[in-house]
Formats: sequence, structure tokens, C-alpha cells
Amino acid sequence: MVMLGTKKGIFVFESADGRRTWKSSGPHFKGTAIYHATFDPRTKTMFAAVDNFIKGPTIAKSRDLGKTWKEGKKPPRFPKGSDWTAKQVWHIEPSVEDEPGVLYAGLDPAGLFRSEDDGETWSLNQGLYNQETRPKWNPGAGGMCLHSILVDPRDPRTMHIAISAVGILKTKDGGKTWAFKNKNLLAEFMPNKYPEYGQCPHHIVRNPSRPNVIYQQNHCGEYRSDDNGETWKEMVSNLPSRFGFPIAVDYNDPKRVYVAPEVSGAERLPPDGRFLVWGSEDEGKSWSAMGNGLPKRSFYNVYREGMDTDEEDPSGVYVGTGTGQLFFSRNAGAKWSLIADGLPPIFSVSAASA
Amino acid sequence: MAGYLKDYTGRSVDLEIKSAVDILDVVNQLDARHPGIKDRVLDEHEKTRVYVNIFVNEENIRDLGGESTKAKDGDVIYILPSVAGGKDGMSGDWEGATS
Repeated sequence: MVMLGTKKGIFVFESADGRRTWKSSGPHFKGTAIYHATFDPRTKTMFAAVDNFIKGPTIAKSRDLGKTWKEGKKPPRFPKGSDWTAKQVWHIEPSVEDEPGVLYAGLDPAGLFRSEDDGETWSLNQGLYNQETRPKWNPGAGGMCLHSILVDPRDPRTMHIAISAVGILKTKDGGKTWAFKNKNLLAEFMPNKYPEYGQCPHHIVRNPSRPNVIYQQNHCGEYRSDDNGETWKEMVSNLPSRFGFPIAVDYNDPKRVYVAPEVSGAERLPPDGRFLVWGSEDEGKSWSAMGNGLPKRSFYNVYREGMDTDEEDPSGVYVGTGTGQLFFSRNAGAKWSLIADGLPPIFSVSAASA
Repeated sequence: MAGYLKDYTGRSVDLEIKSAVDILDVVNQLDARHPGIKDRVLDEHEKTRVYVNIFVNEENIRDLGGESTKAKDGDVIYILPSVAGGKDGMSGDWEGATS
């Protein structure tokens, strides 16, 4: 099953024959932007970050694989008197098995919210909100969005979050305190190129096979951490660009990683007028272009949540573009197939086994 | 009350409220009756959301006293989205094969 959050609603693609043929449903929430749609395997529940411009951002859930949806009772909101107002929900992250009913949501501006009742009500993480440097944080081009949340599967008190353009923060005490973890991350747009904070991470993912390994696509490069997000190593190598948004890790092969480079923050187009996924089989030490099945001439872009892999073996790779194409590879990018064209701009792609 | 709020009010879209002090009081009373509606009308600072308009009779409260606008017996209060449009017109699912 693949869930798409798009500019005009949610689409769900399902395959019952080993990903040979696909049937879709949707759009759900017709006409409404869905920044992120994801699946909680603990309860078999879909969650959606619904950006209704009239009534404000909210989070809805579906217990019947997208057939019906219901909003939670109390959406994420900052406290009365706050200097922030909730603009959008950018990411929803279910916690681990040991924390039933617990989910996290990242907003613009950079609030982290926690639900302990399966998404019905949400409360602001005060530790991050009161982080001493918060008054000095600045937004990136897309706003000051908290777009990535990683809960450590070995200890849910340890979490990483990524905020544009603030950087990576980590807590080891369940969110009471947060420390910046931006060591070795370039911020070429700042006077100090390696500041304590002010970097622009675009997306982070944890390696499911080796949880201490975290991959990051940053505004200024592709990075890997081997020490659970304490420090970072650049892995640009032979990639055509440092810039891009999505990054995905193969569910079964712990060394395989995928990115979709764009020329620069100014252009945001694929290099040489051809959209390509690039893959590495050695944890980002070297990269190969993967274009078999992709158009020879194409100006597609992929948003930060627009690429995902499934849990099948071999792991399937899914890429949704900003112009509404959904591509799939069952063989680690050796060949791509078009599942659907003509969709609204795709904001997020989430693969799951229902 | 606008259709976009019917998820919170059920089928009823006309409500009678007596003895409200001001518009904020009206919304709080609505929320007590239909939990969740306040968050979809006002932001966390109890200000009318950007794309929502509240009218007392035919005057926008932004041209009156905002959320502190007095509400008198007999006033008709409208809660409406500031823009309208859009209709279910999309149909047709994808069915395809992938090699």
C-alpha cells in the first residue's frame, strides 16, 4: 500500500499481487492540501496532516485504510498568548511499540506536539518551545517547519528532529531538554559556515537495520551520521549536486540509500534537464544514476517526503513528483515503472504493509 | 453557520444563543455545545482565523469591535469562510500494471 499526500487530497494505491498491478482510491479530503500522510502499523491506522486554509491545520485518521476519515478532537495549537500561531502540520510520526497511542507532530512554526490518545488531542513540547535560542531561529524558504521526527526504536526518550532553517536537535530525556547536533553540517548561506545552529536540513531518515546510522539530505549536502546523530559526515562524493530534498534508505539492504538531486536552491531543477534518482550501495561513499524507465527529458522535482521504500524483499522504491507522477522500482532503481500520472503535486509518499 | 462547520455541529447549522456578552462568548458557548468548533473558527490567540468571517447582522466584526463586538438579543451572527468555491468533480481511479 502506498499513501500519497498531495496538494488536492490523499490518494491510496494498493496491490494484491506482489506489486504487479495497482488500484487506487481518492482523492480523500478533496481539494485540501495534505502535507503528510502516514500509517501507524501498531493500530493499522492512517494519519493525515490536513492543511485546510479556512479552519486551520488539523490531523485526521482513518481506521479503514482511507475509506472514512475523522479529525481529532483537539488539533495542535500553541498556547494562548504565544508568539506563534499554528500554520501547517508538516509531519506525523507514530512512536514505538512500547508507547501505545503516542504520536508526534511537527508544525510550522517549529512546534513539536505529542499525542497520548492516538491523535485525538495534542500538547506542545515545552522543552523545545522554551529552548533558549528559539527567539533567534529563522525560517527557510518553506517556512520554519519542523519536518522530520525520529524516535529511537531502542529508547523512545531519545529523539531527533529537523527544522528548516534551524538544524538538527536531539533529546535524550523524552523532550525535556534539546541540544543542537549540527557538527560538520555546512551552512554556506551563513557568515559562519559551520554554526552551532542555523543549518537547513531537508529530510532525515534512520537506517532500520542499523539504528545508529541516520542519513540526511541538507540544503548544503548529503550527510550520514554513524553515532546516532551526534556528528555528521558529508557523502556528496560523485553526486551532481549537494542540493535536493528527499532521502530514503532501503528497508532490507542496510547500505543502500537513494536521493534525487536538484541543481541548486535557486533553480530547484534536475541537473541537465533530466530527472534521475541516484542510489548508493555503500552508505553514500559512491553513487550511481538510476534512469532506466524515467523520461529522457524531464524537469520533475521531488519534495522532502516524496520518496519512500517498502518492507518487501527486495525493497520497493517509490518516488512522487511535484508534477503528479508516481514512479516505482522493484529492483533497487535498476528499472522504473510509472504507477500513475496526472495526479496533483505530490507532497508525501508513504509505503506500508497493511 | 457555514457548511464547513457541519462536521462539528452535526446536521444543525442554525443555533440560538441567549445572553452572550460578545462574539468570543458566542464562540465559547458554541464550543461548549459542539466541542472542537472554536479551534476551527478562532486561532490560539482567540482571533478570527484569516479565512473566516464573522458577521453580526450584516457587519463584519473586523469593522466593529473584533471578537469583543457586543452581541445583543435578536442579533443574527453568521460564521462564513471568506472565500467560496470548489465542488466535487474529480472521479476515476487509476488501475495499472508495473513491470
